[in-house]
Amino acid sequence: MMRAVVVESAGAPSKVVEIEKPIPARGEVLVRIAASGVNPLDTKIRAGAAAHARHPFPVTLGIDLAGTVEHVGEHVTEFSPGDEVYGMTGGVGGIQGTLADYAAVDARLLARKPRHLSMRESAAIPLAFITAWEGLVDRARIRAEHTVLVQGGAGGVGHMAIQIARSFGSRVYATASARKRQVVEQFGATFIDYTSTTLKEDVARHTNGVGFDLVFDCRGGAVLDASFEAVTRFGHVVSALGWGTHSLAPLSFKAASYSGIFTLYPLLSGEGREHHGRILREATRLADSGRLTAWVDPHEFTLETVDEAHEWVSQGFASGKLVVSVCVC
Amino acid sequence: MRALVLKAFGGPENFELTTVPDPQVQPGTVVIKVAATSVNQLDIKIRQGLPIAPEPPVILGSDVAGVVEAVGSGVVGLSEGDAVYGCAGGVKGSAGALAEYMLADARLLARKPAKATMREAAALPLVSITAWDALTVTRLRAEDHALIHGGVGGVGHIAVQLAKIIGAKASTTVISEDAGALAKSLGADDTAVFVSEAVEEYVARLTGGAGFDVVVDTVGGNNLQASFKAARVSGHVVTTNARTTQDLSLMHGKALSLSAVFMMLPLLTGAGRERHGQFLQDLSRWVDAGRVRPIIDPHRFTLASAPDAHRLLESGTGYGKIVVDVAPDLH
Repeated sequence: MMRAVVVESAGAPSKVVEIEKPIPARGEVLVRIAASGVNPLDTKIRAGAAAHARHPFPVTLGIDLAGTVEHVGEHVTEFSPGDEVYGMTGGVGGIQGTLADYAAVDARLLARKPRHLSMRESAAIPLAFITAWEGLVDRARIRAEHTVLVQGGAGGVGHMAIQIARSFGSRVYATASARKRQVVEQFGATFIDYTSTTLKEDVARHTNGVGFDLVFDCRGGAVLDASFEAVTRFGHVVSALGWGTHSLAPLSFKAASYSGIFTLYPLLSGEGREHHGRILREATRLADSGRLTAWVDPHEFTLETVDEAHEWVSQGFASGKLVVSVCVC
Repeated sequence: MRALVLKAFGGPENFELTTVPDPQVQPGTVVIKVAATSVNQLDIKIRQGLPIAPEPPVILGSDVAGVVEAVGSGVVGLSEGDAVYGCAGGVKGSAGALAEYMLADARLLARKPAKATMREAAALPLVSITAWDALTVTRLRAEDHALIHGGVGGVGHIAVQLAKIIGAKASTTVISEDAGALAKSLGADDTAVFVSEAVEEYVARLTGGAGFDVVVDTVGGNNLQASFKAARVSGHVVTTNARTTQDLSLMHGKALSLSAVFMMLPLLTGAGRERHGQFLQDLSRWVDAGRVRPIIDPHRFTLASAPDAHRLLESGTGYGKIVVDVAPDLH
């Protein structure tokens, strides 16, 4: 048996229950979870406001994990018991989430965790890093000569995007609130306050009026519209939250491109999972060479205080990614 | 010289055949004795006053085929008497081809295909550069399956042929079985008659339900939603018309990319013009090798009757590219 956090229905409080410990099927490994990263999507799923995540109640939430391989199923050659791993492994698509002592995980989704990062730091990385990588690298094909604007640079995805862009040698600008200025600067971006100035003036000031080669939007809505305005001719906008209705005209006269990033698809469909494992190996490579770290709120939540963590995310109280410590083993 | 001058934005009745001073050659340019020009949808919108339109009174006509009459200083690779073609004016900053002579930036031109007539050469540049921009921005590869909307339309029929040169599989939507047969004669692998077969149906029939790797949407606007449906997950839609407001939720849920092409940018900004000339050199080779050919409407027009060429294109009853013979003796 093991502990798992269960939410019975939309809006209900979570509770810790005892359930059967999963048995890894062919291609899966059993991970003993040390830490589970909290993502804003978790709060939307438990509110019943994320149909696209296809995670029907009762649910065990938690998309990201870091932990230790306990044993491996058939046909798994890459991992052995005792390996420290991390990944974006469930909590959507009806797959058990990571707010539990164990998860049976498709081995293609995992990578070895960064050597110099803790379990808590590692658990803050997968979804955010994969989203940022798919946008900047897979879609927009970032290069050193690009100037990059990250809209929402102090968020989970945003601070990953800044670090990835910096690792490619790009010049990076990031919008954030004034109190997060040091955060985006610490990761190597030039700070742009999105409350006190208009983006138009900043685009003019930082790019001689021509616009940014690449704009990564972590916020959607009006910020995506502003991103379409801020991109240069033949430039590329990517968004992690492009669900709305938007005027495409600003892209049209600039012959620009726009990509939606929907990182859940491999979990929902089973297709393309090895690509997620591959991206996380890039994250490990960057972290091991000191070019990637996770900004984690020092407050340590447990399986019993998950509701509080979700409340912090909803209210915007967090300073960095929130991580639930599952096991201190 | 004789020229068809647009006196004010509006309908084709605003054109007037008149006499204007001959253009004088400038550094980096050539003066072309115009043999033929073709009418594009963009010419219609420019005539109506699109923001990129030049201020009337002005000479329109972007595509040109003709003979180099004078060569400006600094021009390399072109000489007096060369037969050339290009998409070289008719937008803000440069006069067009509905005149006996046209001044053109040499970087936008290439020698016309030896085996093409002046009429054929004049039909090609704008639509071919547009199709090439579309396939290039999507990085279409030989292993891809492309859907091209409007496979016998101006941009569409060239996009089908260029997709085949890349080696990709090319399917196309058409309005009728006859149009489908024509598209297949140009190399299309499969066709779907969009008035009788729903998107879901042809996606199932042609891709087993997976969707197309690349969708070239020459219609744009609300047709983009059909293109989002037709694309595979993580696929790429490219359009010549992204000027509308669209619900992007389907696009986001499939993690699609959407690119806008706007082939006039180098004419408007001055940047990247040599790419157009270089591409047209490649296109000449493909035309001479029989790998690309334009579809040309059989109606004939002159400088004087060019307003009727605009009317024919607007009526939607034209067929392929509509060409105006400015100097039939040069053909």
